[in-house]
Amino acid sequence: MTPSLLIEQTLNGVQFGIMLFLMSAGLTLVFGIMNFINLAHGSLYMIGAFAGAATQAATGSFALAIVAAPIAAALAGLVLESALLRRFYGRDHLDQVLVTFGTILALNEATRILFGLTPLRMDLPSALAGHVEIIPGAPYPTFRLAILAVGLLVAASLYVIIMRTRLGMWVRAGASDRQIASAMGVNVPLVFAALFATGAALAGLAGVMAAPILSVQVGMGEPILILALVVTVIGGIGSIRGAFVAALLVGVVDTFARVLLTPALGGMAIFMTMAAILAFRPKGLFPAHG
Amino acid sequence: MADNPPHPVRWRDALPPAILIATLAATPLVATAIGDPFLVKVATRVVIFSIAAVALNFVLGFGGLVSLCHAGLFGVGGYVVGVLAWHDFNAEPVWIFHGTSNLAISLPLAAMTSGLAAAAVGAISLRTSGPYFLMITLAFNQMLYYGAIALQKYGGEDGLQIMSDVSLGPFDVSNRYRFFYLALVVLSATLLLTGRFVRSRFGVALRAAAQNETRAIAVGIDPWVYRLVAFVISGALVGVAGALLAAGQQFVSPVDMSWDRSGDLVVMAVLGGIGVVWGPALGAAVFIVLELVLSSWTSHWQLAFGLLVVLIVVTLRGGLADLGRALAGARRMEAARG
Amino acid sequence: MADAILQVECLMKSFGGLRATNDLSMNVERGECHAIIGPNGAGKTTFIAQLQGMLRPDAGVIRLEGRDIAGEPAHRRARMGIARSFQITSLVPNFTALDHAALAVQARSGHSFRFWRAARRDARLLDPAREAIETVGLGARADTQARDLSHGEARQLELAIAIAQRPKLLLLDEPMAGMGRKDGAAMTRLLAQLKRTYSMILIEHDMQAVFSLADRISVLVAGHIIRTGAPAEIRADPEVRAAYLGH
Repeated sequence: MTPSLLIEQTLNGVQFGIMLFLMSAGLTLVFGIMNFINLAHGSLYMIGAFAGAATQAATGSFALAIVAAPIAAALAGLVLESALLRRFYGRDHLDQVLVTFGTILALNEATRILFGLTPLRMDLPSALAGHVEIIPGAPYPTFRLAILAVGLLVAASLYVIIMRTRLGMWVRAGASDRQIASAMGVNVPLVFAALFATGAALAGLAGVMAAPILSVQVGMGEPILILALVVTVIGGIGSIRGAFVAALLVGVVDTFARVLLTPALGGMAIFMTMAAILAFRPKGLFPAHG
Repeated sequence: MADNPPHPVRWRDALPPAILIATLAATPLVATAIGDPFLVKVATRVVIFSIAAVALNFVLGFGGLVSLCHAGLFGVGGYVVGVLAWHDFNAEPVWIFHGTSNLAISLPLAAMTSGLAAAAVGAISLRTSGPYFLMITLAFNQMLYYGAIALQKYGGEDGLQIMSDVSLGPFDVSNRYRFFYLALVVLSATLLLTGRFVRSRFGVALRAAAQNETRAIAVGIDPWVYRLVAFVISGALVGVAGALLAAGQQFVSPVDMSWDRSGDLVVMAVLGGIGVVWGPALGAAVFIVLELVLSSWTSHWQLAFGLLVVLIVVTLRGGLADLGRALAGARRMEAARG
Repeated sequence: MADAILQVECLMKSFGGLRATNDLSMNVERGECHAIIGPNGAGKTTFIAQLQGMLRPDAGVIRLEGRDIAGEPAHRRARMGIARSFQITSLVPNFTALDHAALAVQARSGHSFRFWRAARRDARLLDPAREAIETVGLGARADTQARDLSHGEARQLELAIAIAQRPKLLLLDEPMAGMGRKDGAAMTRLLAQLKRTYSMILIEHDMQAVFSLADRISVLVAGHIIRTGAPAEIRADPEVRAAYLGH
């Protein structure tokens, strides 16, 4: 592996990790605070991607698409949460798995009815379509750099919100001790809904950012959901910091494994890593629940 | 969750599974009578997925473990049969072993291999509990799935065709009817075995640990070992189901190992009722018939199916088995409560 | 001292900055009923949980019949002869009273890797289980599911499970919690009877019961035992009166 390839793949891995972090942030917070396993989180990613592609097709504006995607995903998340999922916060995990599993099937099929079977494309505006030569002789796609920047920006603001603000303090308290969360009393349902919607918006953002790289199609949410679950488990359920570290780890390991091994064997590498980590730290790297 | 006190076996408890088996046993006769051999194919599928769902429920309903890697273990069993038949057909020995299309050899090997895979998965997953367990088993399912895709020699993503006729010892079971009855015998044995297991000392320890771990530990039961053994038994049984599917349709593919197949198995179990051993068999039957009927109406049947799953979780918590019990009358419930 | 069934030395346990158990030492003689009293939050249940093994102490020694068990997991300690009844009733809702006792008998009589025979038809389990159920006076309710038992009956069942384990040491965490006067009196009589057979540690808020049952009493304040003595001594001790009995 040449140094320039090494750098390129590292960047790819980190960029993929950042996307995974956007997916996992909502998953891990919703789990940490509401004690709810949302397998339908991947559907929100898919909704973001489709909303983005449809917006661009209708308006021709890439910027509008980027804005529309998280909004659409957040709205979808709000509807799902308030109409169905919030009843399951106190139920056992089996029920949660079933209800979100059913939701995935229904949402996938509904999307297929709306948009058909052919994958949609999202085109990049010329400003983002080119390459940047970060190091001489190794051009890197501008858009991937943009993803990296946006993702780091979101991660940083999330970090500031959670570590430095009152709201964040509450979220941290809730993630490490659910009793406190429920004892806060004041408009808990609203806060839960807002949290769920925020997680959904981040998933939607990840979806639309992935859209120009991958194709926009039904079922695109599930592979990324499973990797996001792996990230959540490795990082420690409920821990944002853990999710960030684990997302980067998974992103880099996955990218390199796919380059160095066959694609299928590379696909297994992540799960091997997870197994190895959990064998020593069953509660993940940064356990939030003591 | 599961709601069945460990009472002695009464003849009434054996009635629903007996009716289920008898109904299934009669389908080939019906198929012949109405001249529709397709029915036997459906019934075979029902029987095979019944075995898988009953096997899953051994850990789900009685061990309290929501496993999402059972499709993966199912596939491991299928690949054992497929790969052995491939070596038999291509006359290419693996080391000293020549491969075989004889199910009398490949079924036990499938059970052993799936059981071993379950032991490996379980040993790590069971160090955790609840939501962690669920997510980790899901991840392991994907690992097995990608593992199957990585088997380039055996078809990779496209799956593996079984070219030779499968036999069971001296008997040729490639005939559709014979194969159906073979599967039905395996289902009956599975029901009988798991039925004994859940009422045995082992089952009592397993259930006590599932419903109140603190209590089980306080009296001196180590939940981990019993869960692991239950997981291995369940994995071996689901591997047999996978092996039967592969042998029955002469084909095995990674598609049957994807994680949503694991979800389907959980839906089957819950649909039928996880509180009784035979519940998931009923659930599998309803699931497969429903899938067939819905998909004949519309290509978008998954929308209806997904909504149905949601509806079931919202309303019918004890599954169809419980519905039957409720319909059988409050009288019996009163009697049971004393 | 030579015949101490349980010896605890310098036990320490902290949660964050809070020292729940602070240099706790005590012993229980064979056949003794040793009561532990102390204000709420003194760390009584935390102490019991460390003896049983649900909590792991940060430091210290726990010897059962001379053997250090501080590193053993809870299920193994149960097999060695430590039985605990829980302050907050902990039962399996759809198991009957008899099932619970049978589970304890099953756990004590070796491994449970027996797959074929129905446990509910196994006289080797049922006979001792029924005996335990009858000892606590629940005979008539043996086939009732735990969820249908009254609070008092559930407390009795807690005790039946513990004695079905045939333990060397009984850890009773507020066996009378939440009981009315009548049930409480019945429980006191039952404990007086069990006391003849078992060594036990008793945590209880009902002082009348404690002083009538205990051979010795230890007073636990802020995770540390400040006094141990016969009931009369404890009753007379001015420091104890100030710390605890005063209110």
